Amino acid sequence: MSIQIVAPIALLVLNNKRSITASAVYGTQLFFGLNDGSLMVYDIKDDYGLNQVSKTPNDHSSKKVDRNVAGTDIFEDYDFSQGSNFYKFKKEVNKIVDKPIDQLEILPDMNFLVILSNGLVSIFKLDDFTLEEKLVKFKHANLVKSYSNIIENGLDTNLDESYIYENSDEDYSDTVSLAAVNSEFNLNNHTTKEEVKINDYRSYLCIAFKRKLMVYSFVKNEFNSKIEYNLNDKVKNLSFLSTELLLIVTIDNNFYLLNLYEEDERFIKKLPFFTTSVVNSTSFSYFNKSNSVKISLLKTLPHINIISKESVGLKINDNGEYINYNHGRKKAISMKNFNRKNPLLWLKKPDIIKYWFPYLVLSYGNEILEIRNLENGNLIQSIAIRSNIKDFVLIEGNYLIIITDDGKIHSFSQVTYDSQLDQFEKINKIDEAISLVEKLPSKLFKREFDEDLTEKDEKFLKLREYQIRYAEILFHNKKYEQAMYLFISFMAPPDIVISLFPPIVKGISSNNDDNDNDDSNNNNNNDALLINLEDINIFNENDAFGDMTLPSPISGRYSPTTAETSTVSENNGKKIVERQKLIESVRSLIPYLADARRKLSKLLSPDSSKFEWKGITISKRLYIPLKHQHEHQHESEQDQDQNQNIDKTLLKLAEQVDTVLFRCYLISSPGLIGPLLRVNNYCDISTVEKNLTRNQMYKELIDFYHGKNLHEKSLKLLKRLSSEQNNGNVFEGPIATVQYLQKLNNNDIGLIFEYIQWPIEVDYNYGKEIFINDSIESESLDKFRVLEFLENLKNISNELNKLDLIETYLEHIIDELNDQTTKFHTKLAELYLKHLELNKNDKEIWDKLEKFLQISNYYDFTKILKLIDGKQNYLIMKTSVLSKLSRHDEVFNILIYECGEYDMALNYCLKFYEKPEQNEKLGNKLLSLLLSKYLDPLPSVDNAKEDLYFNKALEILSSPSGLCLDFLELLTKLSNAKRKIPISQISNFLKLNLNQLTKELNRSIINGNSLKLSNTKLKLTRSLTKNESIIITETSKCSMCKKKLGYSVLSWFPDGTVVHYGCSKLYKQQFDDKNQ
Amino acid sequence: MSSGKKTFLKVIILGDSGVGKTSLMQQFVNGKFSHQYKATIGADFLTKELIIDDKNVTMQIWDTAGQERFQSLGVAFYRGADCCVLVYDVTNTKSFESVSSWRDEFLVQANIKDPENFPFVVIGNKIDVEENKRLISNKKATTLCSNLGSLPYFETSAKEAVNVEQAFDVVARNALQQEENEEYNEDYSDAINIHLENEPSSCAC
Repeated sequence: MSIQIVAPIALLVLNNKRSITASAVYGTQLFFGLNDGSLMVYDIKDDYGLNQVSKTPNDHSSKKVDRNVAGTDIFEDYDFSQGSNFYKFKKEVNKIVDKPIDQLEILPDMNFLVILSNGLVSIFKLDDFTLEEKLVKFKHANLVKSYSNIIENGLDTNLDESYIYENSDEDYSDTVSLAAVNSEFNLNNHTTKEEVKINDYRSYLCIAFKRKLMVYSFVKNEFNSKIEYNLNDKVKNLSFLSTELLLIVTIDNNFYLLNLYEEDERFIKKLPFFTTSVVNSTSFSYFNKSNSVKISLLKTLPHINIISKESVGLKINDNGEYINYNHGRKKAISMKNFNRKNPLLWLKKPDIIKYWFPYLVLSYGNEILEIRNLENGNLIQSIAIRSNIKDFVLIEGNYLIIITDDGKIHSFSQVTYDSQLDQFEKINKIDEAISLVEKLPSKLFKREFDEDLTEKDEKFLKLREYQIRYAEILFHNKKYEQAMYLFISFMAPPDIVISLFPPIVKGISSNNDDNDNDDSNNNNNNDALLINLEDINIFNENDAFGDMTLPSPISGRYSPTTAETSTVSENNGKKIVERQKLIESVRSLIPYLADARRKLSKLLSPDSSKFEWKGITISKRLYIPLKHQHEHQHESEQDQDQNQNIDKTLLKLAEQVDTVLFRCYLISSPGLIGPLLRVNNYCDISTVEKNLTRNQMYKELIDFYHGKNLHEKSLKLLKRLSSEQNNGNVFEGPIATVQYLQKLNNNDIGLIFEYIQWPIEVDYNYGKEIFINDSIESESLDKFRVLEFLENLKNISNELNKLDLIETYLEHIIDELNDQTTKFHTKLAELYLKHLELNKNDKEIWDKLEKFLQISNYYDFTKILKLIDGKQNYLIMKTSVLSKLSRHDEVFNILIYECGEYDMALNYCLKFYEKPEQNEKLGNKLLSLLLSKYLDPLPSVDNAKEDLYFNKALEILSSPSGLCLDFLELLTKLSNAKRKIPISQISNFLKLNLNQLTKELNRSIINGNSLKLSNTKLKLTRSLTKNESIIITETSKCSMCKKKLGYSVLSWFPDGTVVHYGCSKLYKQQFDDKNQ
Repeated sequence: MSSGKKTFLKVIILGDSGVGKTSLMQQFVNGKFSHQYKATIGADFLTKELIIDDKNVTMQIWDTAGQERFQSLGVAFYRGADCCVLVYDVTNTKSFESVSSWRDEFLVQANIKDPENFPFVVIGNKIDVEENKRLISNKKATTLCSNLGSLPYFETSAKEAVNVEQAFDVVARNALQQEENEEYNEDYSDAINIHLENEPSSCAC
């Protein structure tokens, strides 16, 4: 079945025998130049609403259109009557020129109609056809050509940026970053339109004559300049590449590029591509010097111009450079253009070739008109007109007017784009559909009912739909690389792409394909799809032909029995090939999956659920495949529900992508499984579990569980593995469990308690690694619960070990973490005591306890006091506790009367002086108390002791510490003491004190005297200052201006100088300078 | 590879936001340091010409926005990477802890065929700070690097240009090694080698 792009509209038969020799079009006006020098003007009655035929072509093709064997549509018998009013005769200007009209050109902004007739150029007014000027200078003009950039600019609006993008060379713009910022790369493409604005409206009229070219230029509807260029040969054809550049082909078939902004001929550049190496194949070698060779030059889409010569069309850009679609440097670019060709090839040499958006139209002398794809030159439709085609013109709005030899004017129109797309779809010419959609303006794609999506979005969706379908076709044709490239470029929904792969990859057996939404995926089937890594590895090494149980990837059927029983080598050989294919296809899938998971995670991230992609803002709605969306629309009309459903679908897709990626890695690069499972992923838990278990990839499995917070599973597994006895078991023993537990924090404290038990039973020190670890996790654990857990630990072989564990923990939180909780401090003291009960000789614990009771201020003093009360060996420690309770009297009683630790008693007093927070008074008080204890011992004390105490008291008094005591109070104390004290024994003490007092006295006297002295000094200064004066007499003069001081306001300087107040500024300067 | 042929190396710098990726790159390529922090948007690259053992090498260094994470970067970013530099800030514990996850993310996203042997270089930046502000000790960092597979480790200061040259020298050498290995491994970039049919090299006639 062939495609119908054009449909007939109307037929006009000219009555008289005159023939049309030239034609032109402006707006809806058709101009025909006749062989008798007359001009006919027709208007096209455009009352069809749409410019295109809205009927589907099939409606009439069955009845009216014959089709010859070659598939060419023949329209001759077609009824053109429906368009009988299509042509409206407007005017005929009889014999506007004398000779046949050779060429008609229109310069609308200058209101010019240019006629070339018999080598003469005449300019008429376009509105009333009166003669403006006859350019008699050019007697042998052979070609005229007009150009206006207003028209060019107008043409551009047919297209939008998406097409321009497709032609751009750089693919970094959208693929490096999906960030919501426009990349600079994109901006470069918009410069052409900007230029038009900058340069204002320009138009040109070119007249070729002899070996010369005259170019008239007009700026803003005003004549600007005329320049004459000399060329090597006569001009055959010319075409404007841009407002600036003119491409010229001369009779000798040389091509020149003329820069119209440069007035000098030296800027005429000869183009090399037809003569030298750029196109060096044989196709152009027959470009001979013949004058008869027709060369057509045409401007098509922006930046694409075609030179057609013989049966070859060559695409060049606006700089006159050959467009190369496959420069191999960047694969992405050649990939993007794999459907584009340069040069294009025709069946034979066309007579006329024109660009009719978005196709090329070619006519051959033998009545055939062809519609071809611009990108690759593929034939789309062929039409037979049963009369020689003289010319055809194209009218804005998709009309094609064909002029034939026999005076008939056929008009055709393009069928609607929708109809064209439908036809392409029907015959699976998806590449043609893509080619068309790419070029169509976005506004054609806007659907009224959907307000959320912009027209650009809609176009993108349409294009995406076709590109994905095309990629599927490519995939089925085993062009995997191109297919995958398109899948990535157009964000194919993962479910579509994944479904193309064999069950072993997608993880769903083929008979489940149709209902893959079914959550209860058949487990039995999935089990059969487990991937056995060893088989793959053997294959990868390419050196083994052992028993491989990998299911056949191509057939999609897993048959374990066949695989397991077959040992025949030919089978193995076949399997090797299949596995090679499997690995290859998997490797082509991986980049797609990595890209899809990146996009999905961007959409699923809470802070930015959108990204820029090919100039389109991709939202969740745009990403989700249409079929899913329709489902949801049926389910609920409410936006919120819909959004939730979209999120659900996205999550499901993300799971599918990650799970399949996991399977792919398992098949082709197991080294990446670890990284995948450690990063944030949506892998299906059961798939990962089963496959990794089967392949004994426990490390990866445990990483995966950890990432998914499935700690219990991890810990169970680790416990099981710890006891497995095989060589190289890295999980043997409790270390792995302990290391895992170290990574858990307070949220999983229950699990920690549950799973640390067994390592602790093995060695209680493992407990320390969890609870006493310098890590954030360890420090986050609830200390009360940890203590409770440790206290309740059973199954520790030795009670002392348990005590050690708890003690170490409490020491850690008290010493390292500075915990001040009474409970912990008290507990630690209790534990030390308990420890000492069990092992009285533990010197270390004893010391720890002793130090702890002294240093810590946070334990429950009373409680601890009770515990050690009455125990003789803790007497000294008891003093520490009593001291905390400020029961100093009891402290002294113990130290002096019970233990006889006199130095300790004295030190006890002294240490209060050292502590800054204690005041000196307390020290004094304690010292005094100590002295009392010695001087007035308990009545029960025997005489010998009494002497001793008395001596101790004297010792204190004789020592420097005695000086700290209040002398008077002491004297009272001493005089009241039971025992009379011989003065001789305390003479030292008294002397010291007297000395001290005398010293104090002397110091006071000296101080007093020096104060008196300074008082006198001050008095002297005062009176001196008071008496300072200067006498000013009538004759006193100002030292500055030498005038009398008189009764002016004066300034008196410290050096005794008196000047006028007005002069003071000057003098001050002098004075300051002098002082410096 | 002949020494006359110019080799093109692609290096990617990754790490948390604010660790000094851009500064390192600027210091290495332009010998400049800016005190102002400016967050990188998307991704950007600089190139530097080097001569390594008589070989002309063009090193293209891709800098990323640390806060963007990987979901923001497209296929072209990873394509053909020869070495990956993982940067952390010695005064920022979190950035150090992220190093191994950046490595994992990179391996997955770049689809590295041989993850065990792909060259990474770890850089602890900002060693110019006072000793008491430094939170990651040299020992801690070297332990991590050896756990990740004996990765080369450098401590640098982009600000004072300490060790930057040395670090990138190793980056370049490792990248070159990787590039050369790839050349022998045809399988690497083209999983399926499909010759485009009907695609003439320049002209189809």
